[in-house]
Amino acid sequence: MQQYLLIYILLPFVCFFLVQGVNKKKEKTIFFLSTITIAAHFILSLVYSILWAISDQGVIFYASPLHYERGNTAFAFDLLFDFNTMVYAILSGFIGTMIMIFSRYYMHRDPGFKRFYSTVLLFLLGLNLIIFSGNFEVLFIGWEIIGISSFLLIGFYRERYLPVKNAFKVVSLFRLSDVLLLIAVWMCHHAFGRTIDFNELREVGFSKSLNETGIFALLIPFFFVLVAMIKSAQFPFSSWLPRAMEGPTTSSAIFYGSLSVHIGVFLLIRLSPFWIENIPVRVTIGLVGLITAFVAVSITSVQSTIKTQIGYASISQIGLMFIEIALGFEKLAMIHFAGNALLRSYQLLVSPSVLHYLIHNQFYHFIQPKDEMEKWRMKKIKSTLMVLSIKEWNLDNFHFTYFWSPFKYIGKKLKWMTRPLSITGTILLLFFGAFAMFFSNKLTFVDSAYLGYFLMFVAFLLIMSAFAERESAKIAWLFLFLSQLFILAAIGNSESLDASEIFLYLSGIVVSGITGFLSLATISRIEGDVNLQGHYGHVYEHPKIATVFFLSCLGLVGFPLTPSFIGIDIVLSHLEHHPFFLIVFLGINYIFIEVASLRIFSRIFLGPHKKAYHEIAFKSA
Amino acid sequence: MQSQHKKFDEQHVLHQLKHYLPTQTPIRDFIHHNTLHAFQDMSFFDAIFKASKIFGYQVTLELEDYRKLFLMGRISNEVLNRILNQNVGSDKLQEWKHRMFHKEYDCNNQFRIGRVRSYWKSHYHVDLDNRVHPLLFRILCSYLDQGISIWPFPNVSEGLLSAVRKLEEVSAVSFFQSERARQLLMDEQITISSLLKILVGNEDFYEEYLFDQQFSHHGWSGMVSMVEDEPHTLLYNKKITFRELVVFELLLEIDQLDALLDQKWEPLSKCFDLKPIDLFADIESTELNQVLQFWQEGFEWSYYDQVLTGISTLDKQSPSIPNPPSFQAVFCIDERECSLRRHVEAIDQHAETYGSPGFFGVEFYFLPSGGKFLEKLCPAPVTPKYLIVEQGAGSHGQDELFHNKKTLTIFSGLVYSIMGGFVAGFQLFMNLFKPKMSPAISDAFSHMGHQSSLLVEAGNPIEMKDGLQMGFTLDEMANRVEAMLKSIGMVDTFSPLVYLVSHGSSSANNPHHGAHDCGACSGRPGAVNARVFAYMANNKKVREVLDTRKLHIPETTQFIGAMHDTASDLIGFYDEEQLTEVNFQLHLENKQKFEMALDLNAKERSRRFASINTSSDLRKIRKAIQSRSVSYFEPRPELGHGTNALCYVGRRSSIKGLFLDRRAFMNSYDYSIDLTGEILFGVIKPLPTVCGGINLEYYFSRVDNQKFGAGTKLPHNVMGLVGVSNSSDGDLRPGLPLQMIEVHDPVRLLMIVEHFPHVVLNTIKRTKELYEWFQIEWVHLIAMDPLTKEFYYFNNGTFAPYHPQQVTIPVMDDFHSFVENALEMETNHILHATQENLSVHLIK
Repeated sequence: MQQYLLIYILLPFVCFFLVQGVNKKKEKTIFFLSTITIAAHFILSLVYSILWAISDQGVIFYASPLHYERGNTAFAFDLLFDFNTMVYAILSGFIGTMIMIFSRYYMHRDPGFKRFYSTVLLFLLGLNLIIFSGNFEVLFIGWEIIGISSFLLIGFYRERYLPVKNAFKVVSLFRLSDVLLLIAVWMCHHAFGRTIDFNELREVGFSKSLNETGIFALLIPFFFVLVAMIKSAQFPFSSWLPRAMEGPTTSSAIFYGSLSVHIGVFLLIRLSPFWIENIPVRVTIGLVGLITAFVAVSITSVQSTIKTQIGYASISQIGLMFIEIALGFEKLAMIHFAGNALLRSYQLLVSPSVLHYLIHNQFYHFIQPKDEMEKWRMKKIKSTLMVLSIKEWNLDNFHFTYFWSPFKYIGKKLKWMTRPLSITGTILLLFFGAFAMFFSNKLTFVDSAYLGYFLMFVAFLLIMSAFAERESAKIAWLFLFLSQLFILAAIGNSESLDASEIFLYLSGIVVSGITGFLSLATISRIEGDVNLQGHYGHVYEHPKIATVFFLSCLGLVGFPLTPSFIGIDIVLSHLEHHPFFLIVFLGINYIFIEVASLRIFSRIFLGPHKKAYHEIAFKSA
Repeated sequence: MQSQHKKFDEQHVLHQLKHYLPTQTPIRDFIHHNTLHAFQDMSFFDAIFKASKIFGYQVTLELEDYRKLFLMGRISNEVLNRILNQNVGSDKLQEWKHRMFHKEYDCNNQFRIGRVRSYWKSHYHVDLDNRVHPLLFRILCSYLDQGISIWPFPNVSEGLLSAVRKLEEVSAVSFFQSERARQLLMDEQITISSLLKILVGNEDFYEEYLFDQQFSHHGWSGMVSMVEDEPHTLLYNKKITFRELVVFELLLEIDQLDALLDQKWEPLSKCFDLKPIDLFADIESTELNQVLQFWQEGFEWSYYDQVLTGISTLDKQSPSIPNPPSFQAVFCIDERECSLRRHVEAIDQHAETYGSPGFFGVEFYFLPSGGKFLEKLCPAPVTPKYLIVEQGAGSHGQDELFHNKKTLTIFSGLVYSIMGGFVAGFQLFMNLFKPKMSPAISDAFSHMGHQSSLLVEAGNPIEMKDGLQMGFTLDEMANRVEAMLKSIGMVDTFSPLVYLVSHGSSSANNPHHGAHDCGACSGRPGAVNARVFAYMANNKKVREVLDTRKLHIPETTQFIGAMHDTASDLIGFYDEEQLTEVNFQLHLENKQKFEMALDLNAKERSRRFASINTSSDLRKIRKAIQSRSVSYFEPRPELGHGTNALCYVGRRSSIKGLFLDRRAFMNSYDYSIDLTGEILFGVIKPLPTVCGGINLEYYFSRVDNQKFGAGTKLPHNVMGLVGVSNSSDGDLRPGLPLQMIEVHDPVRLLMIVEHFPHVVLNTIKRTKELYEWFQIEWVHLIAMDPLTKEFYYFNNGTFAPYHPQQVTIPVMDDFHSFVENALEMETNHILHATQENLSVHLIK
């Protein structure tokens, strides 16, 4: 029955494209298509689970016949089904179906009705790729899809400033987790010398062979823990969760109340063979959970806004799940997850009614709270905790100050790179790099490894410059495009790539680079100069150009949309013999290419519209 | 212009700021009011264009939309010609028409607010709002919070600054990042101008800076200002002044600048070379605004003209009602009762309906049994001196598992999520497929116990409680009954049963539910008022007093209180057991008629609801309507006052037979018992404030749903139980949400008074306040001569004849097919939405 697992991927995939073909005013068709798909997913999960339980097969693994293989690197579409998959699949089917039905009238007449349903389908596709994944590649695709669908749903009300700002904030963190995952996967590959799938994880000799990898036996699980912490909003990454609740209440309920925010828990359980015998990692997971539970519950206690309060309550429960996982109670954690997901999504859905309920209650039962500090016990501790919690333990500023600002600072110092002369120089350098890549035997005077590092560094500078660019969107875009070519040249100089690999890598990137540039050129022709000083909201008048540009952004960063995705994966696998710092540099580049390109997209197309001839929300609204 | 040194006057500027900020109170009481009240000393168009220029509001539809509305036929050419003829003369008519239809204008609004403060961003690259707002809002919300947080904010009885100071003194960490701001906070003598000196420097710009600052978050500023002025609107009392907010925000700004720029910054006025401007200076009149004004007037009069044509087309002789009618029912003037009255009259052609403001002339505070607070049940501007106490209602508050705070903490949260999670899943399933009433849903009928008793009559001696008189004395009761009956012209004919039908509204998941209840009862259900009035009018001693005043109510006549739930279309009757045997039998028959009328009412409403098929069986529709009102997933349990456009004051018979599509407030009034207009004054006086307030709030929330309105409801987050915002860091959103206004055509209210023009003129001239409403055109006024049915439009202090321009009015043959075939809007854009509003029809 393993080949049937493919259905779970195909269902949302096919339906997503079907919905794209429907006119956006046909709410009924969109609703029925999506709901039937997700309900089918739910029923199939139930049936499959029952059959699975009866057949007593243990773990079901589907090894795809279709894959790309080169040397010891394989790209395969493997799927896996076990108890954890079952719980997640049934639950996502149930909550998904309920939310779809709930949204039919809730979202009625919202101009983004179709956008909402499509994004939820996209999300479900990503989720299924994760929970059914049989290897890291499939898991990673799912991980990226969830990140992008989150960006779309948080920024659902794209004509206002705060949703756009927060969508960008959240997706930047998600991107960080994507790349950490990518690096961890690379380390796995590096440590084991080949691609491993999840079936192998449960083989008896796995932990032994893991231990033989030396430092990686510790590094790999730590990276996984970090990835899980970010996606599950654990301390110190908690503050994104309340800020993600910008979309319609239903989307907050399904994503950030339940399915999305628990995915870190799933990841840890899925990858438990990596750390289950590693005490330091287990202690770390437990401590992270403990600190999170404490911090989150203190914030919950002072929260005066209902959705934020529910969000932090959910985070504190996830903290407990981390503790349960660390203690080895995986099944308990899964049940805890299911209960928490259902409870929080329900609480979020009915959260607007809290106003009536509490006021009504208060009307009949009000007792003046003990709000005089003089009467508090442990005055010092309580007031400190109170101030800290009202400030959300400074978590929201934390990422900004310690992560994004340094890079922005570097970028600002690189202003000179945008001068015509520097650009010309950069392009000449690229030609040189490309030449060296193909004719390295003739260029004996350069060490190709060092040339590779140098080119990678130039790519980094280009990306930083694009990330901090304020004047010209076109130059920022050009730099991002060039940086991808530099990365390719960097790798190509260190390793021999064959033409098909280069073609795979470049195919999507070149096309996206060109379409992206054309979209920007069109916008600046119609609207005059497009700079990146603020948000201009051109999607109001030019939704089609916005869509093309958004797809170009995804294509440029190697989102699993074009063949470039596989190209990047393959090219990366070449780097297994290279120093770790190169990988880190590459990782940073991959983080910021996406962040910088989405920044261009947000600033030009999203946010309050520049032209005030129609109703425009206040920036603070 | 000569630059004058402006002295900064703190008191004056704070007062000015408060004047212009939104005046929405905490959202549990939703009182409709003119959103642009601050500009109501100017004539309508001058005011809105000025407000737009200052604050950047959108104040009319977009020019292109008007043009398209014309092409659609929604704006009539004849009406447009008349307006242009009157305003620019026939010789310039073509020229103006060209401008209106074809000329290209730059519609991009360059507004004044935000000018000075924008220099933080352009000069220092600091987005100060982004840095200050989240923390400021969070502290304000925690401070004002009514009961969401588990730990209450300490020391709220002493004011915001003092509370923060105390917290800062004890706490080991600070809200502030830099030391200077914290030190400044600790100084209790701190003044706004000393802080502005640090931030702005040049005194000339202080006022503008404060306006820029406070209008970058008008929601919270308005809320603080309202709580300061009306602290009783919060159940959990919090002391706060608007001045404290300003001081605190200035401190946070200094703090952020110090932290970000490392104290290397200078006052803002050193960074620019600007001339101070007067934000409120008069604006130049532009051609574009003139064009927009003509379009808007064309849009309004195209509808009004239909109505007036309709009225003048009606048969002069409406079918007579027997004397006495089979029963009489007094409804609220609310335009949502307009259709129910029509259906009651259609079901029983011998019944008579009336309209009167839904508090039925009895004003008091209400203390529900077990309640810890008082509720005002009369129009908002009135301050009652009476208290009505409820007894024996049983328990009012029930618990709802999922709003319990125990679900939020660590350990009980663990238990709740493992055990309760699955219950939540089940409940979610049930809510979707079988919605039913629960404690978390606001239920209009739970406002007062059905079987409870009310203490209406004052004891002897009179008892006082909280400075209020408990109950009414005999005289006070008689006065109120007399005044109400006379105002609606019910003086000589009384049926055996007279119903007083108040209204309320039930809805789930709706923070704005207060906006759906009765406006004449301060945004609450009106059942208590209906019962109180019935009690008074049934009282033998009251009737004896009334007899002496020549108002004879037959002994067989009984008044009975009722309430109509405008969302679920349920009706409930009170004190039925007090009816005589004969009347009880009649009542049972009448109840059937009400039910049948409600079936039709539900059907009529259902045409606008996507979830209901209007062609299906009446019973089914009725059930579906009821289930909408308890559905968590339904953001439109009802449509509130959407589409309101008219206010008719006169005899029902003069407009009976006209289909007005639930767009008219209807106040019964009989000119023939009031030839001098003595009663008329009392009738008209509250209407511009109540109906005009509702109308203007809908107008503004419709034309700029983002700035005046609350935007779409779907992402709303409840903040501290005082308001809603979009995001965890967003500003409060006062005004009406999109789902309430999307059916609304933004037109001003047209008041039609059935009386001789000179009487109406004398009446409105009795107070300046009343007169101003019409004089400066925030509400249109037409007098209808009761004998000739000629119309007179009030303009510039006089009534001039108005002749309707349309020729024919379509006829509605069959209600059912008419409603079933009515168009449903494609999107909620005005071009589509307005097509859902049916034109005036004659009912066959």
